[in-house]
Amino acid sequence: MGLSASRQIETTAISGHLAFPTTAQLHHINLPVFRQLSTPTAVNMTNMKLLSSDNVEISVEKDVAERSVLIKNMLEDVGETMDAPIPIPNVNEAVLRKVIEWCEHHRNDPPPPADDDSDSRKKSTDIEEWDQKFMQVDQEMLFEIILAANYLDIKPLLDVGCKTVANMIKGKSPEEIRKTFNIQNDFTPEEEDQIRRENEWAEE
Amino acid sequence: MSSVITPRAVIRYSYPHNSLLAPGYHHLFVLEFCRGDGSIFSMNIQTKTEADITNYEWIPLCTVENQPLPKNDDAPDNKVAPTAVVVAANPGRSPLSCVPPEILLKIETHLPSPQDTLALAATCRSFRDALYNNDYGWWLKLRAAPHTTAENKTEFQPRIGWSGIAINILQMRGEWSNSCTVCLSSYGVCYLNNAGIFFAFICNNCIHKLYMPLRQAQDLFPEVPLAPTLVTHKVERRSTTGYTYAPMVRRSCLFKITRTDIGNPAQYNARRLVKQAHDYAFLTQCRRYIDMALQSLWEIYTNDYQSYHCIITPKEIYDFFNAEIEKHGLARPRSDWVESGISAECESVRRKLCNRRVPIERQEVRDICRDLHDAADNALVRVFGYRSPFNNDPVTGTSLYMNARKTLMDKWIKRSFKKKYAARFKEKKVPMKKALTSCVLCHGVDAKPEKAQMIVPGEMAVHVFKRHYDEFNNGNAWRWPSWGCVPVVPAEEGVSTSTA
Repeated sequence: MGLSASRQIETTAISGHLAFPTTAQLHHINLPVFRQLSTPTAVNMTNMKLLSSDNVEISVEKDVAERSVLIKNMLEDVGETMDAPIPIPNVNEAVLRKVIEWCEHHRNDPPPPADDDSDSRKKSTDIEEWDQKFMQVDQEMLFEIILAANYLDIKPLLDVGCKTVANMIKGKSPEEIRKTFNIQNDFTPEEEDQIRRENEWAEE
Repeated sequence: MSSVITPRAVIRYSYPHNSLLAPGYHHLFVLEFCRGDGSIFSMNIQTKTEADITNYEWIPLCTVENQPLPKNDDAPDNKVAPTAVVVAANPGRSPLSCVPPEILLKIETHLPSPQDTLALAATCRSFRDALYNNDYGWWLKLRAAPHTTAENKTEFQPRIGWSGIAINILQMRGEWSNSCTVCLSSYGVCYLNNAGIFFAFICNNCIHKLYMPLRQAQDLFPEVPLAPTLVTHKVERRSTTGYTYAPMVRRSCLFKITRTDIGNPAQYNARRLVKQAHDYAFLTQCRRYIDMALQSLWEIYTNDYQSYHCIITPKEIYDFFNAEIEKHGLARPRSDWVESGISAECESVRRKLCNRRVPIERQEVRDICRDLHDAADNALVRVFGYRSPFNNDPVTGTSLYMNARKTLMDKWIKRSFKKKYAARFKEKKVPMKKALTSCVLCHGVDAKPEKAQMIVPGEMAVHVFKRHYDEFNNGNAWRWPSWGCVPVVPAEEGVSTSTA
């Protein structure tokens, strides 16, 4: 739903220049987006364009794009008026759309707290339901989202991605992890034996 | 130039991190290729303009070494842009392997347990290198791991092998202070051996878990210094030159805090123990002390190996023992000592006491007291060769048996009852005194103390029921079915046998 809804919004925004979605469109939008869109005065609806690595221009609202610290800082440096599309050379269109979809859903989220490793470890497996569904993609897309989040400096999205991967690793044996992620075992049998002995302390 | 370009090695994969290049600029990555003619074609991380990169001949990233790739003869028109190299997914390559190390470490921070991190590190070399070097991550993970207590094992079993890593990290971070070297809790107490060679911080829970065999041995042989005695200090203040310690607050044993780079501490300790046992045996002229000391020593080493197998192997211990025994002319340890060791009996009683989860009833107090008495007798009869609370030693004029028994019982009762069940005794209105005053003969509770010196001059008071006491005084020795006054082991020098 999220992607189609965002595409509809995007289309509306491109063609109508800050036009709001129709009632029919809103029926396809989940509650958070509806709530966000129903309070237009609270957000900056200025549009801007992003240029993906495969040269596709994607229009996005400025406050959504500013979930990326990288883009936000760049906009502050360049100035408010920026007509030319911002190149995102490391992210292709499909991944960029997914990232924008996530940013739209989380546009009103409070800014992430300061780094606290111990705190993040405590809730390492907590992922919101919407985010869980959002991350139900193939592995290649998942890791590209993670890389894009890292590149665009969207820490909450990066955290969600890392948590998703961590959940895929959690409780698995090395062999199961290799199968899950198609990792080639480059240890010699002697090294594997040594590792097994070294890791005995954590078993049982 | 040859028509085939072979990727030789990917030195370092680098992803542009938090940077946005101006339009027209591209990153170059550190790649190294070997052309078919043997020449090396390498690149470094650089920022180049469009015009610059047209001078390069771009090829797709390939991780399989020495796999020939067809040269892109159409370059530079169909050249692969640097950004495409980054995101290009090789069908045979894991997407997880493509993430930069900093992302891998971020993923690792979300793994809930050290086991998961170890499993991930055991998948391939690159992950192992990245994760093993993440000292800070390990430190946090170990610190967050559940604390292991002496009685209840949790899912995380700390091993001494990691303490070295933890200590290094703590030193590096300036947080050495008094963190426990095993579980990294902040309640460590500094243990310093009297040789002053090494010291470490260990919390009370971990020291009990790690050094239980020694504690048992100490309980059994309070007079015999079975191990190098360590002086326990509390950290008083921190100075720039090191730590200043408060005066000694208690004594304990430190056996496993060792560093392999010092030499073989197990052999060092074993040599000390054998010498001490030998000295004590020489002073007391009692050969059994030597045997018992050696037996306990054997158990300590065996338990140590079974639990941690990090210091010395049983074969080494046995060989070492034989050499020391031959050298000192001591008795050889019996082969069945390990199976029929005293520590096993003590441990079973202790576990019975400590693992209980239901309130103790009066009858249970009696049963536990009986078990304690039996365990004490079974242990001590091997030392003294006879079993009786009222026999005095003709050499010393006092009852060594009773002294040792009283010491043993006091320790066990204090450790087992007072710590674990004081509150429950209070709730059930079963006074602690009842546990401490069980009859030495039938182990019933509420026995009154009777003056033992009426039986054995110079002896302390013992708790015994009046009826047993009277029977004994009237010459009708009361006999408990399991109570044998007949010597179990023939007495040797310095020990008398009594049939009471």
